[in-house]
Amino acid sequence: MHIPDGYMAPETTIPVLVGMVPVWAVAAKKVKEKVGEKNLPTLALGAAFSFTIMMMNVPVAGGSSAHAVGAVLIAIMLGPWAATIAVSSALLIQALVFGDGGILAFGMNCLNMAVVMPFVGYGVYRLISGKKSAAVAKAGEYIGAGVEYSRTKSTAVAFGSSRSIIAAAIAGFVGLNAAALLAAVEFGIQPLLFTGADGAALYCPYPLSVSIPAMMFAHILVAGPIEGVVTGAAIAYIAKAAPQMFVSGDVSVERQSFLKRYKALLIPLGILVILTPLGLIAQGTAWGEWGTDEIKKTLGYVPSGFASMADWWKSILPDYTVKIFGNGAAGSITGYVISAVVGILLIAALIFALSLFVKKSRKGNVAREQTR
Amino acid sequence: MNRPDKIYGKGFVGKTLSRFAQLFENELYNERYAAGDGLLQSMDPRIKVLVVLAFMVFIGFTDNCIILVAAGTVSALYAAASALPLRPYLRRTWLYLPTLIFILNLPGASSLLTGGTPLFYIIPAGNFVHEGVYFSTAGLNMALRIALRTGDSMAFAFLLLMTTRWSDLTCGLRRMHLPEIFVSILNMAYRYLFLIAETGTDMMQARHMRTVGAIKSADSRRFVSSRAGQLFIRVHSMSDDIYGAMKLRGYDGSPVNLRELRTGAADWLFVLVNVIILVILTIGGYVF
Repeated sequence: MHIPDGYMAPETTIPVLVGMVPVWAVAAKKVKEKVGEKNLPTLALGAAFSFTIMMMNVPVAGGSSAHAVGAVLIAIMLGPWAATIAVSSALLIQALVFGDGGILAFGMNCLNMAVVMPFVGYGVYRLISGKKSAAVAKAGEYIGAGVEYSRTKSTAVAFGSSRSIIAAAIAGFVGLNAAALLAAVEFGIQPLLFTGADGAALYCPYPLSVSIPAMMFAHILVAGPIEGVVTGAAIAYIAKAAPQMFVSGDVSVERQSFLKRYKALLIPLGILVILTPLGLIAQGTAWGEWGTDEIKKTLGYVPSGFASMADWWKSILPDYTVKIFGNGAAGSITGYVISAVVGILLIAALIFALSLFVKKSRKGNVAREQTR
Repeated sequence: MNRPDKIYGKGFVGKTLSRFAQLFENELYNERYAAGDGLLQSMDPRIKVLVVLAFMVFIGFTDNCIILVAAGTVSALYAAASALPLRPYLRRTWLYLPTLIFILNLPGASSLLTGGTPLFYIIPAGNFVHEGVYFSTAGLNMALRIALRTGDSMAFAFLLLMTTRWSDLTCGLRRMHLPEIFVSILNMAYRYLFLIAETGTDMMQARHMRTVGAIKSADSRRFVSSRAGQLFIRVHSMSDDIYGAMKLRGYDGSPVNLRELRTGAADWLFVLVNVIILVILTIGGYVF
């Protein structure tokens, strides 16, 4: 996946290289913020480790072999920002010392293998392993990944569990394939953007319809599974051989999922939503919710002010009926449920906005008190 | 000296050991070439980096195959003037990747993707494909252009890396305002990757020594994965020790570079000559 110089238009490689500068700056800041100069040896050795991993051949069926990238493994162990720096450094050494991967294409190679791969892989790992089995690597805390980890404090015992190993393997597979897909898109847009006067492509000649299947076929079937196996098995080995690298014992606060956290509120609200169609059974109209026809029936006339304002608002669901479901019971029930959900969401948004406002104003008051 | 794949076979152990051996070999030769007193070795690394980048950008924008061949000739002339052994230099730059890229681009250069007046047919018209599959001048020109561009870029990259010591290169990058943290990481990573590669070599050799008979592919994969994990554990514990050693030697977060770079008259002359070369090549692009 190391893109060489000359295969991509400089109009694409140079902007990506420039665009990577703020990414490296943010990565350096994120990592530096945590522990300052202490991160230096860990990052340097992470880069050397990444370089070495790319040199280790892994056997594939039929006697052939391929190599892994290891970016997701580093992201799981050290955090995604640290992985960005470590893998970028490894790629720069490869480009400057071994001519492996281009110098102008360095930004593009970093975007694929040092940003997309570790971040996608790390996200997938977190998603599958769940908050309970998220690793609390001391190594990660050491160089800044702990910023993310500390928010999801949980039991470290789960690290190395079959769930976290499977999560790591899938993360490796998905991370590499995400990087390969991006590289395929980068290849595929070249003939769309840069064609000579004779109609021939100036750079990579293969359009998206060829580059994506060609890249993804090889990566989904061979390189992806290899990356997955290496990531999962390496995590399993580290968890088994060096459990001291992870926080042991229970960590005080366990972050709950959204559903668990708001269970007490969500269940009654859900019941209310389900019960809303009961309104259809009730006879008559709720007090004060009269329409113009009902007012005329009761009072004998419609007050002029009311008549002038009555048509001002036409609701989206007149009489709580969804027309596509017809005017019968189905339409009414659907309309009721939708109205209830929309109403609850609106109210929730209002309350959320209010709580934010109150929180902010309270913070402001506290700050003012402190300055006094 | 026998290559590792000849001793350890062509399996994953042999291939990995070959790659580790290449790493050490590369370092050994690069240090030897960079220590020479040729033209490029005596130039300021900052100037070299800028000149090489200028050539790379020029090559990237050039579509003319004749000019690309001329740029390749310029790089070979510089290699000769810097006392680099031409055969290994040309082999490393032109033999593998540009050739591979040319071959890989041939399907795209055919009439399947690139039209034009037929030059010769691969599959004659009417047999399997209605219009046949052929190569046109435009298609072959395209495949050649991409291969030449890749080769030229590699040729200039190798000029830089074969005539510049790593420490000079990173010092030059630092003087070009690359943040200190990155330069320090690069320097440390470069030094320690040899140590880690040596550990990796030991692991693979040990594995080869205790292997009797054929081993299942799945077991081998497990072995490589666990070695990767083992390597990470070693690297992590090493980083703690290194940080301790750095503190003891007075490290306060700002690395000190003892090397001084000076740009002399020869460097500016070098810049001028290359500007003239680039102007000539640009004019050549309009002439040919």
